[in-house]
Amino acid sequence: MIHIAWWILFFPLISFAIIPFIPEAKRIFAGWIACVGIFFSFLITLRFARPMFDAGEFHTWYSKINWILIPGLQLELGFFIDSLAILMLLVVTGVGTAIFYYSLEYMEHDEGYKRYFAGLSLFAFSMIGIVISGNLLQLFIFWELVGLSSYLLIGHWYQKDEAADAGKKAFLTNRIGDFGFLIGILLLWTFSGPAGSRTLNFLQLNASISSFVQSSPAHATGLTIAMLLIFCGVLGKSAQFPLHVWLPDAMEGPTPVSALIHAATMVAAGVYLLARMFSLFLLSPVALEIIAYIGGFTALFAATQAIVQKDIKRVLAYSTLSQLGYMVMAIGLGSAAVGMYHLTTHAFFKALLFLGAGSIIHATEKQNIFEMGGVIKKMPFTSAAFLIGTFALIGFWPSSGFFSKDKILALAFSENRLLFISSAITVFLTALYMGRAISLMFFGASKIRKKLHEPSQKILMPLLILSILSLAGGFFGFERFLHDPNHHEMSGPNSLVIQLATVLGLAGVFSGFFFYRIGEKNRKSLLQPFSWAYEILMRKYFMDDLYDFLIRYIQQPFAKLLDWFERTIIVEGAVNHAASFTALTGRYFKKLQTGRIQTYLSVFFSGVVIAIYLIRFGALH
Amino acid sequence: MLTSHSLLPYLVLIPLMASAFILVVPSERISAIRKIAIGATFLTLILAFFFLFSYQPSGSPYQFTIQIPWVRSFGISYHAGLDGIGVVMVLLHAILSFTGALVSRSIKQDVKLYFIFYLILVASIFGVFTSLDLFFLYLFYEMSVIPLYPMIGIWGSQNREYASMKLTLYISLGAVIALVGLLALYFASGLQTFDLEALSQQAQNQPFSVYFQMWCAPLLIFGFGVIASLWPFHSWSPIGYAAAPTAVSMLHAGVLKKLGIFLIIRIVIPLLPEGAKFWLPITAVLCIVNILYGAWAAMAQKDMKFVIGFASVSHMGYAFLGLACLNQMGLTATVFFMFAHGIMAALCFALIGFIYDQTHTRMIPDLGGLAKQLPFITVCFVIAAFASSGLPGFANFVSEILIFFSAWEHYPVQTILAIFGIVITATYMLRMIRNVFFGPPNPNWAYLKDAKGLAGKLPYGFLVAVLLIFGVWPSLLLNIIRPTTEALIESRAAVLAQYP
Repeated sequence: MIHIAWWILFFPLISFAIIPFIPEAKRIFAGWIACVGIFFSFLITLRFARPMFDAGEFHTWYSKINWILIPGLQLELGFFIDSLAILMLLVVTGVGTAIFYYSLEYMEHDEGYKRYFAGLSLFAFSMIGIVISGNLLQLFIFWELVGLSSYLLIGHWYQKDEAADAGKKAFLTNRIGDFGFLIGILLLWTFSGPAGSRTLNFLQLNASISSFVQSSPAHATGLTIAMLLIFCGVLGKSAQFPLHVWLPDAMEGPTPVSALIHAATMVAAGVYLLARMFSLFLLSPVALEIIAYIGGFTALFAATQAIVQKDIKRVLAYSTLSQLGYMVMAIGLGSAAVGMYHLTTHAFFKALLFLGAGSIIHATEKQNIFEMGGVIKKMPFTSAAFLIGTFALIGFWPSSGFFSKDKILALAFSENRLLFISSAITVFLTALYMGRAISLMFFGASKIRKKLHEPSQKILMPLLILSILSLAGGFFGFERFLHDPNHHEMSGPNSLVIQLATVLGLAGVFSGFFFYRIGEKNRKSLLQPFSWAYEILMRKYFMDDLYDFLIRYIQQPFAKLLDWFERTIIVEGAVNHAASFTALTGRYFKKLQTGRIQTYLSVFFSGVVIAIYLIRFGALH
Repeated sequence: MLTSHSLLPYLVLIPLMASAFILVVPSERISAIRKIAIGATFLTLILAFFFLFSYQPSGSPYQFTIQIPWVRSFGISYHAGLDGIGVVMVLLHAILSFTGALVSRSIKQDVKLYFIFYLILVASIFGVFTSLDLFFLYLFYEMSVIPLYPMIGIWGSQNREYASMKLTLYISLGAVIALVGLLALYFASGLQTFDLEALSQQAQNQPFSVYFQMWCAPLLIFGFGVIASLWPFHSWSPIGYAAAPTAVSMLHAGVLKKLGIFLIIRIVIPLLPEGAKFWLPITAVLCIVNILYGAWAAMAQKDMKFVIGFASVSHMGYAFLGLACLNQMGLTATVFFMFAHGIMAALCFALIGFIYDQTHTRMIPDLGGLAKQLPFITVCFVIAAFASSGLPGFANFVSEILIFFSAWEHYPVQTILAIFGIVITATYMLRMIRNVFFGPPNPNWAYLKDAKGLAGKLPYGFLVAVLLIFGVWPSLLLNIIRPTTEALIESRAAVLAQYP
């Protein structure tokens, strides 16, 4: 049993290694090899998950090999599979299989078909690596690899300037977060014990860090700094404020990529990291509080921007930011289980929403919701799937989103009233922007001239499966995986919160829906007084402008200054002047070489006289 | 002790003999000349792998030794041998010599002369890595400078006279400063020998006085530091690389630059431990200037070769940082870093050379959208860029992370700044990739041809494979480096213990 765990990781890697060698003429195999790879990983994961589904038993599997052994440092590669990892693996490989299969048709005529599936397989490998990592440095390794596959897939259509820029932006923004993450790892490593017995292993880290914290009150501050630095990595990967700017741009990638990587799994890796290291975060209440506020703020901040987006994928991207904010906030409020639960259900319904949107984009070749309309009549199945996803995202009973979101709201209600209020507003805003989107996309007169029809089963099957999971995922017992003794028990339903959330959701969805049914003229006149707010939202609160400013007017001039310094001071000033100085002295000294023996002799003898004088009077001693 | 069965001298002899052989081949027989050069470097590559696999990590520190007395009165003998560090550096040099010979296909002018010089360059660098006698070591070192000057001057590109002059003068300057230090060692030891083993034995039994170490160590550290482009003695490096022909840039950035650090490890640390203890923390400050200054300067460049040139200035800072830790982890990491960086830098120069041969420009704003015509080259360049910015999976990541782990203890502030350096590295590398390869295809470059066939792809693919193999399985090299650095640190501790 323990040996087959490695194969969860290796099957996608094998697919990745095979795909480049498939000839272009038979490229259809590339897609199937990728699908089979991740499907096998899914099957093995199911094998590990069965005891929990059957009897609620908890097992952990642990294994490692030594990778680098140097006195003072021991780095291992290994896996650590517990119920948390299994839940995450189910999401990654399960949703992954559906999206790989979906891509078979979606990317069928793409020029970079092979490259696409190679990238997806590389992503699956790296993501699984994050989930099963047994130590922090190994997690960091796969964390970076995930960043690479994200870069490659966002820039899949590299000939488009926007896509090429977006890939670069995503990678670099993440790098800034990982800068903090790596320093955090180094700090934790130092905290974990005296030189020679340090560790980054998750199994040992907890005990060694708790004893570190208990040994001196000053150490608690040190740990807070370390945990916040680690959280920097989460800021990048899970796109929390202020490093969220890359995620909306990442929508330049193919839609299945947005569904899998930039909605369901990779961006959730940060949340997974928080849950994985939750027992350490618990040692630092200050860090947790800051995390909760950042999450809560991101949730609200992103939801407001989703209201004005015209591109359906960007609406969903901001929605992802907002939901990730919920998850981070839940963990910050002290419950990793709630955060992970929302991660799971969110993976289902957000993947469904993206795939549904992808199906519509594929058919209409449009992404602007103002250019759609009336899709429900022509593509009823896809539209139904999208509506189910919307239903779950807003959190209406009995969809899966209801269960997880309710737990978050109940948690905020009991822990922090300010964050509860902001979360409640976010519920309303979520319903509002989704109501607006479905109103514009599915209803009213169609603005699409193309003849539309439903896609083939390769696209419909994943939609069907994800619809079932989104609708009924709350009853499948995923929360069982989270009854780990290390995590807080999830609180039961809170009827006050449920009623409030449902009312807010209904209010939001109706106002969003009917506001876009009242006709353009009325809408414009209603919106007129708020045009300044609209402007701020469209400019993304000037966040992109701020970063652009920093790059264009601070960093680039600084680089130019150093370049100038190099050219004029170091090369021209110091080095070349030293060279001309040498030439100049040469010109003077060559006059000494007169070629006349008399001159040489007189100089020589005066030298001898001086030497004797110096030796005689002891000046050389 | 006359051991005649060592294969080690052949590393020097094979390229030299091939060079002499090319001398008698008529200069029109270009393909024969190329085959001789490629064949000779391939043989040294096989030898290098032989040394890698037959080196016994648990055996004596220097293996495959050979000693032939030469000038007895001065105590000069041809004494060659390899320790774990030498094995790794020889492997690096052999890999780059071979790939360098392969990419020299693009040389069309005076092919015969070019390869004669090239093989002398290759042989003399092997000589430096294998010599255990300071006299021969210095001799081989100076010998490597001789072919460099004409190679840049004749086959170089823009600004080549200025660049070759500057590079040669600079390196000679560094060498002369170091020579003063070496001669001081010779006289101060009173042993009348240039033999490194004898000298380090002496240093353990009867260490050099602290006063002597204090002034001798900086001569060697900064003299060799010039060669390793320690800030502010780096300015020869970007200009020199930009002007040099592809294979010379590869060997220079990949191997020659590492000589400085290699020699500091081999000579300064065991012989002058007190001096190293005092002076290396100063280089630990300068190296951060290397890292950040080089990286920001790279960001402002428009010529691809200048970007990589400044990048290599920046990267050498990491090697100095690892060195300055003066512990086993740091030294091991530094040696591994030199290997990884050598391969990566050479790969970058090889790829830029490939593009330049067809486009005749290296200016980033002129290029763009090349990925469509050059998919293979693009993939290799993306790999090189990510390796350069320390992405896991490549050898560079392993070495950098080891340097961070060991430096963190001694120089926390520098470590944080050094880690920030990899953020900047990623920025300029990805920006270059974005502007050269991605974006809308440029009709001007529609005629470009990608690397075709096994022979065309081999040099680039080989370097990529090396980066990947040692990135996934670093222990292959680390286990060979480790005993040597352990012995170094132990002997250093033994010497230091003799001081009150």
